[in-house]
Amino acid sequence: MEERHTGHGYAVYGVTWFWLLVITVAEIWITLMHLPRAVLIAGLVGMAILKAVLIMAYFMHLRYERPIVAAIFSVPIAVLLMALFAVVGMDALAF
Amino acid sequence: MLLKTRRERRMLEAWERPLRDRAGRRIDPGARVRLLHLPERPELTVEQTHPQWGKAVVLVPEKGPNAADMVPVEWVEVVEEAPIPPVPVDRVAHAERIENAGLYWHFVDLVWVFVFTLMYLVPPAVPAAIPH
Repeated sequence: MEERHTGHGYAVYGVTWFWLLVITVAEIWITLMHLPRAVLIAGLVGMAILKAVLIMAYFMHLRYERPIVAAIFSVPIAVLLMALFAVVGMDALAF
Repeated sequence: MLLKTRRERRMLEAWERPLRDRAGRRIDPGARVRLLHLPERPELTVEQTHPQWGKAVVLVPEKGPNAADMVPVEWVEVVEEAPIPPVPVDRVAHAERIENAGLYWHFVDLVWVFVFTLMYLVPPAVPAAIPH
């Protein structure tokens, strides 16, 4: 196994957690702003994808992997998102 | 190291329990041992190898690894002491187990990022029916 140099300590996890918290607060905040429904959903889904990218890049170390690893990992995540939006998402949006 | 199964625990105990010959002398890995019950083969020596052999050792001849065989440890006596090697701890496997647990944790985390958004934040298209 080849040696990997991540080049950071534990601080990056705290910073990532802080920004995830900021995005979560922003998500709750925009639900209270009486935005048009399409704008609100687009904003919420965009911020959720941003959170997912932060988690995958830093908590799951994909930023420090070779690009092929991230490419391989992104396929099941895309399938997961499609399944979620097809099953849970439709229920959430319709009712 | 996480030792979950009984077999893993037994293997670690076998590592830690020193083998002794019939005279009560410690048989360390790499010790030169004389076989008591095969006087017709004095050229054979015995070495303890892996704990999966249990109460047995592997016969190796002086010259070359031919004629390897297993004998009970009571059949041998120590001829030459050997230094005790440290118990090997597989730190790579340990770290990989922790890493895999973390990856699974964050995969569930990813799922909940979207479940939280869709189920709790997106407002309903029509107001919920008022129970009557």
